[in-house]
Amino acid sequence: MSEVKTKIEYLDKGTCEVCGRKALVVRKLGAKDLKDGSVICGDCARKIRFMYPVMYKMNKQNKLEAKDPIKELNLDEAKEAIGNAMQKLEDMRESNGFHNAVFRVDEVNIKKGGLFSKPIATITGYVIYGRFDKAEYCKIIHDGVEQETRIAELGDDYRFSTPVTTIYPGEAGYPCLITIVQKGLNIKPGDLIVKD
Amino acid sequence: MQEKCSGCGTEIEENECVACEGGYICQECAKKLRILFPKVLTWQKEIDRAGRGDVDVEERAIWLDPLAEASSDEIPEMIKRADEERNARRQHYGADNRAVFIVDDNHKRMKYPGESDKVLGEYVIMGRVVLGDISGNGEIAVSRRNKVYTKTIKRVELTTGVILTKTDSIDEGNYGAIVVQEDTPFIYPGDTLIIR
Ligand SMILES: [Zn+2]
Ligand SMILES: [Zn+2]
Repeated sequence: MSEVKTKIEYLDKGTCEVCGRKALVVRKLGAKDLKDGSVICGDCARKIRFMYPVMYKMNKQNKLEAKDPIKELNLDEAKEAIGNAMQKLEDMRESNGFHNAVFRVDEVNIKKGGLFSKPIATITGYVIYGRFDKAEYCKIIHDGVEQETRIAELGDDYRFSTPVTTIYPGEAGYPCLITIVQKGLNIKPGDLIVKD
Repeated sequence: MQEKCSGCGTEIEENECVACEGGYICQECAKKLRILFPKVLTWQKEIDRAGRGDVDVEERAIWLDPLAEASSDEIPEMIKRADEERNARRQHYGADNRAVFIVDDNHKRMKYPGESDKVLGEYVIMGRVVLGDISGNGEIAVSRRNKVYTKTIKRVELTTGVILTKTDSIDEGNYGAIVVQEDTPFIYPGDTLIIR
């Protein structure tokens, strides 16, 4: 019987250079390596995610691959962005009629309802700012007309090969998939779903 | 065993205080110091090296206490600095306010298997108390460009780093969650909440 040796490993990338907390790398806590080699924690990254949405591009295997623009910043740029984030957010709210959250519709698939079932709309798009969740009431803005609706389900966008790295789907700056079960829904790409 | 607090000189029980380099700090002095020296969350894992390659054994969240590294003769000076910082923050945020909380995240409570449906619909605002203590009553207020939004606090919770547990108060300098009954879509990561 040989003795079982164990060693301890810390699951962080050292100290976040913005807030002084540990930049954790477990459970989607999302520490970010910046362009100049410095590290920021997931909580600091979340504050500016709406300014730097995760982008996806097609790779050689014909799969969509995530590209994180926060990783293209250096530390000074990240600090400046965090310092300006609230002002930027207020500007975005103001230019969007002070809605609390805005989702941009990119694609819509509607499964027709039957005699006893309502149509099911599967909507993919981006959370521009704010946050959306399951079972929440919101509005669709379609050609300037508002329609009351409720999110039946909300989850990660299945088209992307790289899993979305948030703890909760529906966060600002990430794509997500919204399902709405409702009759007489008017929705098309380019429409907005908003929360007030 | 009786010890003397390095901050205030009070006689304290060894098991009721924080050990620092070359001395002890009583709970009251430690509470005063949290505004400048918050505990830091990290995760560690134990790696099994029993000849089978590295096999993960266990991952756990732990809180590191920076006070443990402070030297006992620095404590009185650190308390003075903490008091100065508290006064400066009172001036900055308004002395009438009970507490101030900086938001890291804001999400709908997920229902875990076996939990009652009652928790669904609760909203959890995670962050750190940067001034004062927050108890389970009162109101949160956040100033946006268009208006001041308020909500009633339902409960406060402390975080172990993994789960949240109900508590009577999140004390100054500590991390925790403010729970409210209804959605707070007007609160964003990075926000400053005033507790009234
Ligand atoms: Zn940070
Ligand atoms: Zn003391």
